[in-house]
Amino acid sequence: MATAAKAGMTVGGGHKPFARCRAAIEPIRLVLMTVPLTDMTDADLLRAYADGTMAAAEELAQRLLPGALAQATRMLADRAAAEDVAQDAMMRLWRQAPAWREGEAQVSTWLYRVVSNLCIDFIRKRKRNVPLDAVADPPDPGESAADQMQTNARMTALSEALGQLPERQAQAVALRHLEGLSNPEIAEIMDISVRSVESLTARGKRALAAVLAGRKAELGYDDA
Amino acid sequence: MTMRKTDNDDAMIDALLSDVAQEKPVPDTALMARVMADAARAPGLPAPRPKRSVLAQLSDMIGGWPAASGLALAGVVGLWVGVAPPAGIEDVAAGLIGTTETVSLWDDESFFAEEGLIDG
Repeated sequence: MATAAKAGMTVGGGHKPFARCRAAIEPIRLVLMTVPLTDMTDADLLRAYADGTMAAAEELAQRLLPGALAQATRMLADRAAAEDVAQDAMMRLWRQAPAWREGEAQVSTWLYRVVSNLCIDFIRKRKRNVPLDAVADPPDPGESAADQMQTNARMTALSEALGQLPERQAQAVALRHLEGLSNPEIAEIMDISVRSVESLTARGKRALAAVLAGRKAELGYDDA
Repeated sequence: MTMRKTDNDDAMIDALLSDVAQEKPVPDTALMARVMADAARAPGLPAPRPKRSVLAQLSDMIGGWPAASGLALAGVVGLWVGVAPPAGIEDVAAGLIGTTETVSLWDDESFFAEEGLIDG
């Protein structure tokens, strides 16, 4: 896939009256003005994919899918559910491609928002239905069994606690402290002011502390 | 993750968030395949455009194989007329543009002899 993704191609676009002219010179342009996919912006790749270039979709998936999966895994503490969320988010991106407008938003920003919303929806439904303890994560070969259990316990506790917060607080805390985004970035993703982000993250952290106050020892954060 | 001491609840939350933030799962090939399958069948897209060779792109430039076959036919006919013109073609040419006559502007032999370009 990497080889195909690095294959050269160009991006289309232009005015209708010149469409026939462009079509005539397109083969020359493709030969003379090839741009490696790896040098293209996410938005250019999305437009190229919308024009039918599957290699552009592969390059986009290589860039964006790991981040989407990581974001969902940290929020959900459930690998299978996180994969479903990441796939769903990417599917929405593919559907959005033909209507993607120049300068509307960064693709990565848009994806953060979609994954975050999908995770919040999932956590809310899970709170009503399946307890998180019933979900098993695949073992990480890099960790011992004890460390893996500790990691799973912490991730599960945090995910459950996020589920008890107001949605906007949970989103802001996750984007700030799990994804490491800046307050202006979060403000753009959540479509709110920077001051609101600061307020949401502060209140969210206090709420988390209250929810998890009695679980220090269980999670390995006690003073013993 | 290692055990760590915390002084208060806020520190524990900071530690917990920091630990979970370090989790970086990598998509496996199965997930990537699912995502690419979705991309291939997403609605509202044109048919996937396969990568084309330079030769194929040059062929497209001149109009594809019909234009190429026309060019080839014209080339063959031109060669044929030049090498072995059919009987009567010179009459037709003469009728259209008049008869032709070759006139040398100088004496070839003496010209080349003076320049020393030919022997004898």
